[in-house]
Amino acid sequence: MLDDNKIQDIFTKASLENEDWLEPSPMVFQNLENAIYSKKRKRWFWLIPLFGLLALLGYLQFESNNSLDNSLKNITKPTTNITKQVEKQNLASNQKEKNESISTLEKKELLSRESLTKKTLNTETLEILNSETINKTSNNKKGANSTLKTEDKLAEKVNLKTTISKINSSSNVVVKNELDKNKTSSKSNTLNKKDNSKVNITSKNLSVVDDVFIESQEKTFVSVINKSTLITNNKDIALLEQGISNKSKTTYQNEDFISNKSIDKLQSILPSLTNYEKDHITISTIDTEIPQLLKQATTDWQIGILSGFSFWDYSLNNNFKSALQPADFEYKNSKGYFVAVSATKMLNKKFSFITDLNFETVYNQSGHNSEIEYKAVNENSEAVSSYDIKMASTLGFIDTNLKIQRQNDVNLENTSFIVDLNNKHKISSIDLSTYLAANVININKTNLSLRLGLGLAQIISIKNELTSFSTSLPALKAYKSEITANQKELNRTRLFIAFGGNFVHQLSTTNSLFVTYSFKSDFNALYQSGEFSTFLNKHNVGLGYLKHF
Amino acid sequence: MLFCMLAIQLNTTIILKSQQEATNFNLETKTEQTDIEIIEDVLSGSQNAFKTLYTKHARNHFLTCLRYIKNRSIAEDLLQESYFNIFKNLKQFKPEKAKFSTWSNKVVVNTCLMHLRKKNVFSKTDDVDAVDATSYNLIRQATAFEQLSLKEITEQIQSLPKGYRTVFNLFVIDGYSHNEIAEMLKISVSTSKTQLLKAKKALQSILLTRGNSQSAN
Repeated sequence: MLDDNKIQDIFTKASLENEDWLEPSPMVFQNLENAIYSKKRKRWFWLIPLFGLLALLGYLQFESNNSLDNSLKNITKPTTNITKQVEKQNLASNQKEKNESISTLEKKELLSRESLTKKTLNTETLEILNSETINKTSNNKKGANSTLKTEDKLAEKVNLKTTISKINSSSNVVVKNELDKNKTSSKSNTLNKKDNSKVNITSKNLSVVDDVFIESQEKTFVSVINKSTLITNNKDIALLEQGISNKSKTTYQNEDFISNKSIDKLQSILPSLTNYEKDHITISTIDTEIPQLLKQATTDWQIGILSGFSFWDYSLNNNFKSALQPADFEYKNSKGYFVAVSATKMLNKKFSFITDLNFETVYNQSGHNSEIEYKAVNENSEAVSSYDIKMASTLGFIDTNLKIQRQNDVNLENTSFIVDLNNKHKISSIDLSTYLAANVININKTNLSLRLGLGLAQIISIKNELTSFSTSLPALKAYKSEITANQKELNRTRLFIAFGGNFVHQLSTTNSLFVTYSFKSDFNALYQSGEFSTFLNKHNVGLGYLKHF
Repeated sequence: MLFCMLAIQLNTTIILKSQQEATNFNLETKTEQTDIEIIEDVLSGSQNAFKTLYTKHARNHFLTCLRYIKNRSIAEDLLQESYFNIFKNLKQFKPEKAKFSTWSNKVVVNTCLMHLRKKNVFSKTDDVDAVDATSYNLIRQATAFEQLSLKEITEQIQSLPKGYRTVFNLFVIDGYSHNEIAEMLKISVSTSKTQLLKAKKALQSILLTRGNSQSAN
């Protein structure tokens, strides 16, 4: 019998140095290298949009922290003035009213953090409204938590019902509302009112007020409205409307700082608040925030950065398809990524004009089979034959040189065989587009806009790579390949029509995130030669960030 | 005197032999260290190191592929796939447990077996029962076998039916036990043994035919 060990030794201990027949085709390593190392490189490309997104989120976080700090500072300053004035008024008032045996209302100041720890005032209910609103609207903001917790604790100490019940009738309310829109001129409205009706403020009403304010997420504005709310009765509504002009009120509503529902709620509870009576309380508000808010609400320009995925859909004409049988040529549509910058000019509330510059890189594969005639006379001393062939691709034809080696121990007559070629293409392109966009849906802080436009596309580079080839005859093996000429007769610059939509979510008055989709269709062929032509349609889906100016 | 000379001769032989063994061991160790160094470079991202590793072992692994797969193009594809698997699992390679050549050869064998499983090779019964072992001239077989080159032996193995060839390769050359083969190929141990016996008979038959044709020439 055959000796197993002997056979094993032949295979495991034999020197293979002189066994040239065991040398695999160079294509094996070439393919391997492409598969392993090009895949590694690809990962980096896909990380670019991810890094962009992370940077964007980081910036937004930074911005939101800054705006919170600024808002708190803005709120605190005028409130301190108000509280001081209220305190003075009440101290004076209290002295007068002591003789008349009118019970006073304990005051508590929450808007001013400094005053919170020091002062106990009689008009506490008013500040509770303010403070709780601020607490809730800024509850999720970093940096303010520790201070606001202190305020909460102080607020908890106040027994609202008890305090409110102490509010007595027959008191005069003096409301002074100062609106200083231009910082240089101020407007003061003073209301003196005498009302003998009973005070009927309940904690339920207060909570309703809170809810209304929570719905409005613009902190600064909330504080302004809140202060104004406190001075209202039936007539005060008119005053409020005076304080915030019709125009500005409309703007706020349009910009969704406060929803219509919220305004209605606010107005519905105002009569309850009007029953609140207090002797000669004067509240002054200097609304420096309003002009600023108005300015922000009507931003003219938006600059955006966006990134996402690109899909190129090739449309090959019938001649192309019939001349190259499906068995001989197959291709896949391109996939890749894009990064873009955009500038938006708001024409009015409904329409805007958008320009964007888009850079994209896409990849795709194509396969081509060619029949080749093998002739022994064409072989060199190493049994290698050389063939120049044209390979089809979606963007035209590529010239290539193939070297095929016959196995030494096989003698072949002249015969035909098929080579199977697989190519990879990388295309980089820049698009410049202009659109007219229209807001079609506007719900709270989210809106959907549709756009239609024209653009110019320019192909920057095309890289072709013959990733692998094989032969149909085992006796002939793929030895070497080289692309000698890339595609010709390409229309590198093309005009296209584009349409798409943006789904925008407003994070704050100056920042928005949006999801975008664009479809672009070329007017002229990307590749045109004789009876062959290829048209291109592109789809871009991405995520972006808008900065309002 | 004669005794002394014999003793010296014997002693010298032993020393030389032990020195040679030591040299062989050192060489082997050095080779393994080189492999480990190359692997470390590959893992650190060096493309050249991967090429070195491939160049060093590709022939050996290609021979393994050719033992299992007759078609050269498919064998090349499997070699490519094997090296992709080797690269992918290189971090799992433990130098203290096995040599790289042994570990990587297992990866190659597994890749070939996966390919054969896809082709459903092991569910088919190759009919070589007509081969009659008793009629062989064992002396002539051995002579013919020794005269064959590595390439010729590989071709003889390739000419075996796929099922037999696989069991023969796994048991005789790659050193797997029947239990292991049964588990790998999802067949019974007895089937593995039968397949091996039939493979050997078939191979002997091929060698005999070759010997007869050579003697006739």
